[in-house]
Amino acid sequence: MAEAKKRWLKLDNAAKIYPAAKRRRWSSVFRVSVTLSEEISPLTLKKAIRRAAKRFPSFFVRLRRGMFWYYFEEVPAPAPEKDDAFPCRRMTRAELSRCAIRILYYRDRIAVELFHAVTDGNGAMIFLKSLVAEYLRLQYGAEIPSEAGVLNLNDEPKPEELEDSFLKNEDGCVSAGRGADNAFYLRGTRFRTDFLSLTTGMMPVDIVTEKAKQGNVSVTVYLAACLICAIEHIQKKTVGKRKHYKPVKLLIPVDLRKFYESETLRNFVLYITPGIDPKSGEYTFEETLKAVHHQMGGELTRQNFNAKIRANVRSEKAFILKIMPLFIKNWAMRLVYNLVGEKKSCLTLSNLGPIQIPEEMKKYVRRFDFVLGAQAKNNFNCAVLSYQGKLYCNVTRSVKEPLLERELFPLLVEKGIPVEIESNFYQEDLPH
Amino acid sequence: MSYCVKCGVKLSPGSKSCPLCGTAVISPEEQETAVPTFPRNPKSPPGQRIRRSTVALLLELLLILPPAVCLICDFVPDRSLGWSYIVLASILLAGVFILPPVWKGKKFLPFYFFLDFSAVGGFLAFLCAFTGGNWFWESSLQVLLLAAAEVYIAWVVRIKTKISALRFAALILTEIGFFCLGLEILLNRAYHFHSMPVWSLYPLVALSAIGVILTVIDRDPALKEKLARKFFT
Repeated sequence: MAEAKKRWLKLDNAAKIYPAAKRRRWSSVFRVSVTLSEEISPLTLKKAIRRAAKRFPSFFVRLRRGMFWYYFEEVPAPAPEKDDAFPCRRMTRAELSRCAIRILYYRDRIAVELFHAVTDGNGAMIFLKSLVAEYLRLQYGAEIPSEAGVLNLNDEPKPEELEDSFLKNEDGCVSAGRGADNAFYLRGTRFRTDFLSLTTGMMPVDIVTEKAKQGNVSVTVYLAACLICAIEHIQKKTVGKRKHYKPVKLLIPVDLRKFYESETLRNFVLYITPGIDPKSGEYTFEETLKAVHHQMGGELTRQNFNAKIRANVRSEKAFILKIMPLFIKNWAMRLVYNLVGEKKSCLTLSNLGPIQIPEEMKKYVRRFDFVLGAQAKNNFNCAVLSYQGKLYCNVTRSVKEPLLERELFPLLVEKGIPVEIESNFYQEDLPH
Repeated sequence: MSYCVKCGVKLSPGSKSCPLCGTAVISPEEQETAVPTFPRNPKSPPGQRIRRSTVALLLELLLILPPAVCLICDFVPDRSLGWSYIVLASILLAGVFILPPVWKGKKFLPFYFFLDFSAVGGFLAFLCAFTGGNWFWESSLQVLLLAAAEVYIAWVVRIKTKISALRFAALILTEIGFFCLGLEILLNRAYHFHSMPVWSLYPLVALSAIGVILTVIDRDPALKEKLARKFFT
């Protein structure tokens, strides 16, 4: 499986849910993009993609159905396409059976959109950086070293990069439980098409870091607390009595590569769900900050992840599940996803952290972005990264009302963080 | 570069309004030079909607297909029409139920109510005439009017009063009980089965009792909350 010769890959443990959970109007897609200092040349980009395809065989794949499981099959590198009016357009079954990756360009921006079963945010960022480095070499003759997450495209792909790190790191003898209360659901009027509204809040990293330091927490914890307060405010406005309040929780992916020293370029994240239960009383911002900080501190341990990995891997290895035909397995997995998949959190907050690139690339690269597509049920999502002193907070929504953005960004301004906003949503496009 | 006066956020060049609160921004010079962050693709605007009239027309065309086939099947063997009338009437009835709401939306609910019950009455009257009986005038019409009255009462109560979901359920259950009673009385009068109601008393008593229980529960919020937790979470 690991050798390129076989030209097919089993889906990793975390990826198995995505093809099963996808539906007619939704598939899990996310996007990483880079904005350069000059307009993109599609021809050079095409050449760079071809070169990258050899180094990243697990990215240029299509989804195929086996008797018992889905699997990926390598495909030739696709040509770059012009970007659309909105990010993370769903990938239809027909599209996934051709290629599970899209490479898009618009003016000075290159974007990579991926079906989540292929890789996670960190894997995608390594791919994007390597692709852009190659593009810059071809376009400007830039000499860019293979460091800071840029891989050498002349090397052969390593077996460790293609491995399923969940299976490799299954350790311990305790499986984590999955019980949790349902979280508050942010309602709204869905767009009639699969349009996705993207609102980007840009803020100075040093000010956000300083604010986080004042509370003795990390930037992720600080942003998570802001999001929780914003959602709690929405709940207060929309739900009448306190006894009807539901927990406000966020789903935060954690990159396990740091915990297990893995080099995989496939999915290797697990989730933690910090939050507050306002039913038990009102929380101030400082209390929320503390609650999230302690919950995350308690959950971010290797032992806790061991138990979670074991629970997931054990489900995959269950004999009855193995011999179940794919269509029944899909039905069962979709049922589980509908029952517990998204109901346990209000939205996903994914923070890729500060993006590092080789010094030689910096004069060509103006900006990075990370965008999460909409979920099947949950209407909002939030993805964050920082680059060159700016933090980019991308809030996506599949509903017309900017409920979350309207609470979150003014809250950050209130905290003393200057926020600059841009959006792809034009009110005048809505029918009058 | 502008700021939103309401949210305090800095807006990107060319923003006509704040994306968060919709407050208008007046800065015409910047609007002309601004570059949108995403291409504005006219093929996929966010609010593109399928017209109701197109859906209604398509449904109408689909509804025409089965009667046409039925007419041919009925006519071809002996060059005369018989059973296909019933199919035609059934499809017409389905059309009356489906097409007006699809076409015009929820705006004309009272009209749909009147139209649907009239259509059912017309359909039953046609069946009665077609089969050569008198059952429609003897019993069906009265049963239909009784059902219409009960649906109307429930609908008016739901719309006009702020009745809770539990009390509304109690009302529906009690109405079903009384419908059973009315049905038996009407059938007895038409066909002389019994001089007094017999079977309908069972659902009437049981459903009315459940209705009373639900009303009592609804009066005590603490009990309601406790039962909701016990049974639904």
